[in-house]
Amino acid sequence: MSLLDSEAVETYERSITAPPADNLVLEARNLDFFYGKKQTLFGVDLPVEKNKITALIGPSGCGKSTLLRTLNRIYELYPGQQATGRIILDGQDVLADKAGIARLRARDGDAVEVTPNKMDLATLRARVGMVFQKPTPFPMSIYDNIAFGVRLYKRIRGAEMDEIVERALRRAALWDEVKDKLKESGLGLSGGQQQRLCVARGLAIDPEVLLLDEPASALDPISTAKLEDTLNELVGNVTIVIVTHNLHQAARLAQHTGFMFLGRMIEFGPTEEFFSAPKLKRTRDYVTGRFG
Amino acid sequence: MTRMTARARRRSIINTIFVTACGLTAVIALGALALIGWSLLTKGIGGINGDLFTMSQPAPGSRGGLLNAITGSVILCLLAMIFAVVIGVLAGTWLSEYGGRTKLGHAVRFLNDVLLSAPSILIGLFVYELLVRNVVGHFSALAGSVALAILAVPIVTRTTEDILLLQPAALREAGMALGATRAFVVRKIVWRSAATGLLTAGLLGFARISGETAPLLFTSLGNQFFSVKLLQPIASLPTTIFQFALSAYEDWQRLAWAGALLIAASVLAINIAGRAIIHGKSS
Repeated sequence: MSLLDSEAVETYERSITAPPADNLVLEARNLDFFYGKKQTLFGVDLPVEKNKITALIGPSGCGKSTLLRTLNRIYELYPGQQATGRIILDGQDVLADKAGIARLRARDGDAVEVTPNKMDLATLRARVGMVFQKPTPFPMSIYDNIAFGVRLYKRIRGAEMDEIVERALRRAALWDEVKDKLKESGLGLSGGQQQRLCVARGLAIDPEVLLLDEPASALDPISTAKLEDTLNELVGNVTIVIVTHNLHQAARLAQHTGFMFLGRMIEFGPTEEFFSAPKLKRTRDYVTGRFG
Repeated sequence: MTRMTARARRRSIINTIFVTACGLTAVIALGALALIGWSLLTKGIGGINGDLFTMSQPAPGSRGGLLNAITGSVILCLLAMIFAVVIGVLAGTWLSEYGGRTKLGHAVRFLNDVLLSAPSILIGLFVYELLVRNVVGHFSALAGSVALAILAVPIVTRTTEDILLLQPAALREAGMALGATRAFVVRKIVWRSAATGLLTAGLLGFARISGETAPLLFTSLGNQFFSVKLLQPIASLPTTIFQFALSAYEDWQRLAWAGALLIAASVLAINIAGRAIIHGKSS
């Protein structure tokens, strides 16, 4: 308790080097998050550049996954979890429904200027897709796994759907491995293939942003390499935010990297500088393995 | 060292006693089951013939079978299972996916567990008051199947909830992360993922009601003639067995044994079929 208290009053040195504002597709500003009464994110900022890969690193429990889960509001599945702050997707505030604005006003006072925006969750999640830590293929055929999300938004069947499924599987670099068994269950694939199937499923509905929550942590090195190749191929077409425990993975994949610590965004910047010349001592200690 | 060996010897004695006790109780339980099975088989097999399935129950001393009772049991159980599966699966789904953690959810779960062990004769009396004396006004197949359904619902509800809770949260999140609604995810993903478990829920419910006699005595009553009318009294294997087994006529008693064997065999067959389906799906 005393430890937590002392940390809560400690002011954290921060260094945020954001990409040019015109290039941002998604941005979290001064974001707090609560599990019931326990606060787990403290004034987090996250600028996400369009069509680039942004990696989030940090020790276990630092709030990386929580931050990711606020971006598509998937946390709302669980009563008692709340986010207060701004999350701006293409100029629209994702959190600016009635309750969200009320929480923001309660925190920042009446001067807050937010355009109320009743964001439809289905639309938000179509624009911001998500891939989870463990592969989550649905109990249906490979084809239907991909078509499932598409059918939620479009009345499509036959050749047109075939085309979308093929394109999604090609973008996830899975097509060659499954093209002869599209009617077989997605549960029969290997772990790595299942995870790329989930990437393909997310891509099939053409999201602007794809969130990946430690997508390789359950995969062997070869499957991980394949998944990374897939993500590299996607740079330029889709924006990716990836949470990872693996510093090398962040260095290999990302154009921007953010380091989180105890629920705060401590340092954020271009990946190369981030790893070669971190601005803060805490970041330096972490990336050189001195703590973590 | 000597103290250690004394302790070791004591442990080994206790171990022997424990293992023997476990083995003995297992033998007693299985032995009773084997005796029941054996007497069913030896006394019932003589009554199994073509007439059993093609003729309705006879007057004492004449030719006949159990067609009316078999048909009645199939109708009663089928109707009851339709009620029970629809209500039980939906209730179990509500407990697992929606209201299980609310106060109402805890109350529903508690009442369901109470119902799980309610005496079946009480359920029969309840339906007798409700449907036989009031709504319908006389004994009927419908009342019988409602009584059986009330017995099966808590089992189906409980099993459904348990099975759905086993499905990973990530699966639900993955569905909702694509923008699907909760109800859609439950129907298209969670239920499908739990399909074999839901089948088990139905089988457990069926096993519970297939041999029930007490609730049927007050509700479907029994009928010595062949009938498929839902609003009239209907024959059933358990009530016919009850009547014939208590009678003084040897041929009726033989039919009762044959009927008992039929019930046991059909429960066994449906269980094996269910397991085969589950096994076929999982492999």
